[in-house]
Amino acid sequence: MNDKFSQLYQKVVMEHARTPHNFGELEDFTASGEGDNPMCGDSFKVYVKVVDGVIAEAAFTGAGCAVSKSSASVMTEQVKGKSVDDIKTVYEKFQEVVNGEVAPEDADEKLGDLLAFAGIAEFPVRIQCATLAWEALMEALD
Amino acid sequence: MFDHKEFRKQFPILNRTVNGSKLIYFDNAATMQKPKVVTDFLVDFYQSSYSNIHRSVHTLSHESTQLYENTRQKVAEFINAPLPKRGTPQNIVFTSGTTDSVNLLANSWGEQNVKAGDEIILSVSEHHSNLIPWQMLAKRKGAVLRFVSICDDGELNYEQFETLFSDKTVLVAISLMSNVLGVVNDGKRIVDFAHAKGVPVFFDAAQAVVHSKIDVQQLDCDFLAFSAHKLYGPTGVGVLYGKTELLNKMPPWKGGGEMINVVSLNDFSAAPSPFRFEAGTPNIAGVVAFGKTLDFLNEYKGITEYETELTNYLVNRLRELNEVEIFSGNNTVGIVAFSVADIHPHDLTHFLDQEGIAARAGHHCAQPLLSFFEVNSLNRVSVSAYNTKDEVDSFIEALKKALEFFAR
Repeated sequence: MNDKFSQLYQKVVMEHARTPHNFGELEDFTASGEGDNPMCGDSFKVYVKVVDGVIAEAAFTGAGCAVSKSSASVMTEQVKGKSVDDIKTVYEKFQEVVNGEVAPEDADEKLGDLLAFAGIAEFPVRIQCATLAWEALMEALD
Repeated sequence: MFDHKEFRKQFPILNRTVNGSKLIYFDNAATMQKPKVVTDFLVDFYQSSYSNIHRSVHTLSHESTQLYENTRQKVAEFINAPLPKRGTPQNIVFTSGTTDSVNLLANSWGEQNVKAGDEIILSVSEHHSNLIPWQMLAKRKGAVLRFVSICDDGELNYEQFETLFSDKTVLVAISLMSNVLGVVNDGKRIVDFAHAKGVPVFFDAAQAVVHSKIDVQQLDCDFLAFSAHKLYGPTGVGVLYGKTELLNKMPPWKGGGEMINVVSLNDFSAAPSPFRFEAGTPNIAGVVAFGKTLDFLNEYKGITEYETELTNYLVNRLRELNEVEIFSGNNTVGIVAFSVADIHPHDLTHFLDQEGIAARAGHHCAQPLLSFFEVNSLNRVSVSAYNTKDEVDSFIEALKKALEFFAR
């Protein structure tokens, strides 16, 4: 398999896809949002518990491909403890990376595991797989 | 005897590579590749005979009109529609595709014949193109849609179909062949039962026309639609067949040039079918190139038999893999829907693309059917007469590689 494809389906992506973190409905969520990709049928719902402008907890339900599911998993890990404003900045930086506007080596290190999705920029039709859960999150935070 | 090697040679695109591998085009149910004679003909037509049709007396217009109307004749012959003694077949309307044909029917016939409380029978496995136009009509009119279920093997549940009829039933609109499962429905059985109840039948034949011989007189259906692009022809051309007496009772749907007899400032009278349904300048080049496509297809015999053999080979090879679950039943030609344990269809088709294989993942414009199976995405491979058993073997090898890759 070619390098770009293997780069996309790297270990961290496959691990999160196989055993997603924060999978399931939050019992005491304060907001939720949905993301649907009509092209492939992937569909996620994201739940957040916001306390004093900070995300205390985040979780998700739904179904999708390895990329969309692992992206949701990594996202829910990354946003915990961050303020709503910070998250919007992180999403903007994440979008720059997955759209190939910023090379992963030049990206903010704070993106952490989110950088695992940088390889999607090589496959434009699949960028929405990486951003689907984020769209749901943004709907929840709006 | 069908010579698939000779047939395949007519399609230049099949020689290209994709991601470093030889292209294996297994997305034929979405659209088919075009033979060189057809693409050459398109260029030649634009360079030598092109003009607007039906309007002018000059030679170019005459030549274009002849080619356009000859194609109508060829389409009628292709589906064995009754031909008039002379003149243009009134039972063949050119549209922009199957979707356009269904919208024409729903808006013209539907507007005239469907009222509040009336019932239209569809199936759960319809393509969105034979579902949404009826939903829109039903919402406008306060009509009701009723749905034939399918059995575990994907076949229509004919017993349940018969229970759906009531004195409110005004139309049956069903696909002759599922675009997801490839199951071929028993059109004759559907028509016989509906007609006994006095209910007309429309068939979406977008897939069926590719993989079986359509004979509208034998079927005795009232309406039938298909697209040129799924049948080796150009994009932007579709057909609505209708019984002439029914079409001539239907009001025009789109107004404009070409569809009229007499026009005053405040009124018009509509031309007879098919012209009343062909407002505006049609896809002239597309239609005449479709005529060339039908000439091309008529030169080959045994296509369906070859496609059936190839599909059976594909299904049998897929069955060798324990991880594969096949959703199509036994009665399929050309199309096979399946899932692979632990690999999401979107991930799998992306992997296959890296190997040069064009397959399809998703809901295939049939979301209700996928809901029926309680899945939100399926893999679909669809073969045609230019595909080979060698390609099926390469596909199976790629599938095995994918299983290894995603298990790591």
